[in-house]
Amino acid sequence: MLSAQAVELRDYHKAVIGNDCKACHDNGIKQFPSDQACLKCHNIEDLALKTARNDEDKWQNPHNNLHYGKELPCQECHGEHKAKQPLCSDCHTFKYDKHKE
Amino acid sequence: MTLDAGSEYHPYLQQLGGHSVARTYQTSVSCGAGITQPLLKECYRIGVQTHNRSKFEGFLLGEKGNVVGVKMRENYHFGEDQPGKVLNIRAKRGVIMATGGFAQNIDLRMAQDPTLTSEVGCTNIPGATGEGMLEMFRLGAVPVHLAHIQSGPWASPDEGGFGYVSNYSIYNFPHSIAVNCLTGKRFMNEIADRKTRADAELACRDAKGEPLPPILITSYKDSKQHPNTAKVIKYNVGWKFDTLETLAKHFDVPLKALEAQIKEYNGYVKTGDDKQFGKNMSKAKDKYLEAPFTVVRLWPKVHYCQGGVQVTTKAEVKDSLTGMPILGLYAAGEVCGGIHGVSRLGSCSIPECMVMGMTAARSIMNA
Repeated sequence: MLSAQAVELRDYHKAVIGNDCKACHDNGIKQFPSDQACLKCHNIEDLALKTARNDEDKWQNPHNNLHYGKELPCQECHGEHKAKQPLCSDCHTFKYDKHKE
Repeated sequence: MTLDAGSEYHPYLQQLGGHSVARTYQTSVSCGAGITQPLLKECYRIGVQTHNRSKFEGFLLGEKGNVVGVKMRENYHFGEDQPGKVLNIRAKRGVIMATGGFAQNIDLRMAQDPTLTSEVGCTNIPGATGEGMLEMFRLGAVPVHLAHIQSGPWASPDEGGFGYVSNYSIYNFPHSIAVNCLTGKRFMNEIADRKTRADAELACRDAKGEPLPPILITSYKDSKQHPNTAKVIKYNVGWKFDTLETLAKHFDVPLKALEAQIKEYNGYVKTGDDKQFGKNMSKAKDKYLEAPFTVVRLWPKVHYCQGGVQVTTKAEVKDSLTGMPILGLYAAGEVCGGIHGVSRLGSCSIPECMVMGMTAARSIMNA
């Protein structure tokens, strides 16, 4: 039996996925999804454009950043059943106001 | 190699602490990404396969005790319960260990240097925990210099990792004072060696013995020469004050003692002789402390582990019992010991990673 926390969904995914666990869980229910699961619906190029910043701060773009480019796995910053902070916050105090935990 | 891969560097050399001449190239983005990102793209271009979410779980040994492969756990997420399957991966030529240092392993670093408690921060990524090194010790690798762990006295408790304050402080230490907030007084030579300064900072405590990070006070006219000054202020990990009164109030420092300390220190700037701590004042010449000031808080962070496994000049890992290379096992980078002795000079780690990384690759191809 899965814990109550394990079935918490973020509002957007609740609306479009509902109870279809396999939509993300391509490694079976008891494991994290693969890093490719998110990319079936979300496009990193589009996201990088959407979160682009001005020239001075351009490398603070979470989806195209200085240290990892566009290679950072989505699950490093986004968690479905448990809130996560941006990985950048490990070292920087940048603001990511639109980050959904 | 990095230039061929597309790295860009500032068109000038810098002289870091301990060096007799300027010899350090810095990437134009002033951080390691200026090297790692181009090299990663070059790997993709030439067909090197990289595998994320894979955790090293140990070695596979042949009948002669030689290394013939590794055990890797797949779908690994750092710090989470992991049901991912462990795969046995065969290595026909050998295994190169490039797993970095152990600065994030608090138990292990405290076993070597008891002052490095969890109170001491760390500039490293969370995965710098040293299991790769420990597994090599299981095979009999020789431990070298494990207790020599370098802490950065330039780091800030207000941001994680290396952040922006580190480079700001490194630039400003020569013409600044570090002040204990409890006393309003200096407590160290601001350009002494790293260990001396880190220990002095750790000793700054409040009345209850809790950590009380000291502050670095700099004249804005001097700090503004460095690009990180604008950044530390912008990201609220450094502060600018127009008067000493507002500074003292902000950090709850006794004002009279602080005023007296600054007056005393400016006397040393004038005479060139620091009678308090013996600081070499040549780089502080004519740089009197005066308002407006910029200030950052200081707290040491573990930065580099000089210790690791012993390797030959061909990057072969040596066995402690036989003194001979462990067949099939190579290592390069911070996971090795002995390269830097008891204290690494700034800018010597990246060249070591490059040179010994290439050496390990050549050795393995000739095995």
